[in-house]
Amino acid sequence: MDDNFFARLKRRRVSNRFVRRFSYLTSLSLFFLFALILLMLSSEGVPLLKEVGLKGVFFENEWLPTEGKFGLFNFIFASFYTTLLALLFSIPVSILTAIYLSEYLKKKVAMYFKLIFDVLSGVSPVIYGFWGVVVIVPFVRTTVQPICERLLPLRIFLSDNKSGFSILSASIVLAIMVSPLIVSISEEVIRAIPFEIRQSTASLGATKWEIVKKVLLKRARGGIFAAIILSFSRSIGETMAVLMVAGCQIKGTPISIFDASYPLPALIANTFGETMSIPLYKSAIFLASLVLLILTLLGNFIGWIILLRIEEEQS
Amino acid sequence: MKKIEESIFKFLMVSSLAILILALLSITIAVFVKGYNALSLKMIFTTPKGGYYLGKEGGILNAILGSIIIALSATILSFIYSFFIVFYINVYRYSKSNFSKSVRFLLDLLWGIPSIVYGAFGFAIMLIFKIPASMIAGIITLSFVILPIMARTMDETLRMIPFELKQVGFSLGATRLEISYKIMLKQSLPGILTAILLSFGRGLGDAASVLMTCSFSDSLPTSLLKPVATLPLSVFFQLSTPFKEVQERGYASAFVLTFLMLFVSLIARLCTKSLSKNIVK
Repeated sequence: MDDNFFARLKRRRVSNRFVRRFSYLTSLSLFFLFALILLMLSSEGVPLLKEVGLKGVFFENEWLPTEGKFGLFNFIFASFYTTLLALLFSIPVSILTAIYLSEYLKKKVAMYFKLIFDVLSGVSPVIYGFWGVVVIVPFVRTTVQPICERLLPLRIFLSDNKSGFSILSASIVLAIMVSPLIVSISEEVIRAIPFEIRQSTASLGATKWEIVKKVLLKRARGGIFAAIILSFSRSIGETMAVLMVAGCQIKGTPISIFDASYPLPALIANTFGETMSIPLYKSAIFLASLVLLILTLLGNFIGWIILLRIEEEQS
Repeated sequence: MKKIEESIFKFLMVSSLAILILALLSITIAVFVKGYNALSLKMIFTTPKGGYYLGKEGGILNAILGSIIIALSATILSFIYSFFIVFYINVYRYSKSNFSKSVRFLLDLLWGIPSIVYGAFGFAIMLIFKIPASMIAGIITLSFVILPIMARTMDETLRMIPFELKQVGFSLGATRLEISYKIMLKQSLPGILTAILLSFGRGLGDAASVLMTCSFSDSLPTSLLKPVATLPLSVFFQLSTPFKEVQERGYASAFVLTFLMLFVSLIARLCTKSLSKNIVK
């Protein structure tokens, strides 16, 4: 035990302590970053709220920045419209796929499909937008819209926008984008249900589909709900893909699925550059971002709380 | 009756899976067919002439280089940041402690924030400090976007390391720092590499945040303080022009972008396999 030993011991302890403190501060700075994001967006966005009022921003649909009218209603409405339509398409398809992957396919085969979903859910949103522009928009314009107009002349199928850049196109693209997310979460939740439960239900004479319908779906409903909430907040914040196919025209509240729409994220992406000269305009863009932030945080908060609780129940 | 119901639903399930796979296949085919026809050596190795939106000559080198530089730098930045966080919550604190759980939850929340909001956040900071659209602003904003992806992916692998391995380290008198780099780092190497590659791929593809912070440019990326071109924006801008020649550049960008992202994710999966020889499970 010479001095050298103690010197080394001290060095080890000192460096350990240094790294501990440094990484503690780094971890804390994450909370600071989060607070900063909230603070920056609200401090930039609130001036408009003060000026125009809550009602003037969220329940007015006139968007005339040069005249000081900043009604965000149409944009928020378009966002919800597109997102909910996308979920309407993707929920049944994704949940059926998830059941098929976890209950009917061999694990190895299911893994390959999951791998494909995994890889493609990582592809850039712009690529989905690209696909929307070159495949979905022409398809909607030349096939879906004429057929719907002829067969079902209801208000939601009639529109004078014949370009194909529409709510329907945007929600088809979004549906394909978020499906992998719903599939992978629901599949994991269903797969995690103990095998004994399936066995005992089967021993009562239930068919495979009855097990799924009466037992598995009931047990997995929390997780599936979480998956849906998470994909809701994912798709309401999706910008580029929607921006490329939604049409983005300010033309009143969209009603038909073939109307062009202007969702909130697209508004932010399209106008931030022009906003510098008018302070309130700038404020409106940040308020739009704040609304988006709060909506997505809320969705994620609920979704993750449910998933965490499920995880804790299992362990 | 039971049987009919079962077969109806089985049919529905198979067709759902088929719809999804077909849609994904159609995306890949659309990108590769359109892109392959537009692709040439000139396209890859020149910059656009006469403006990216109107000029009909030139290629997409500016966007390819810009994307790689931005994504790479953002990946490095966010790697350094998340490295400390992840090792802190898994080595210095117990993985299941309240502090670790809340950091993890916060990261999940941050993951869910859309990249356009990060873009707006970066833009707000740029307004305060009067920084114009520039590469450095894009890099920093993008590193916030990929930080949660990086940190959570790394965290998942560190969490999987058996607690006994740490215990052995303690019993030998190792400090937590030594445990970090002598045991945990080695055990989680493939996971960390996957995290890096995944985040790099995400960084390549993210458009909304760079749209607001580093704009677009016709020239090659030379300075940190100048706007820079990126592949996703190259797709986005050039697809929306009325000129066929310019649209071709958009198709080519989409091809290169998809190719790069698929390539990165393939490497990520291969690395995980070949590096996991020495892992104790």
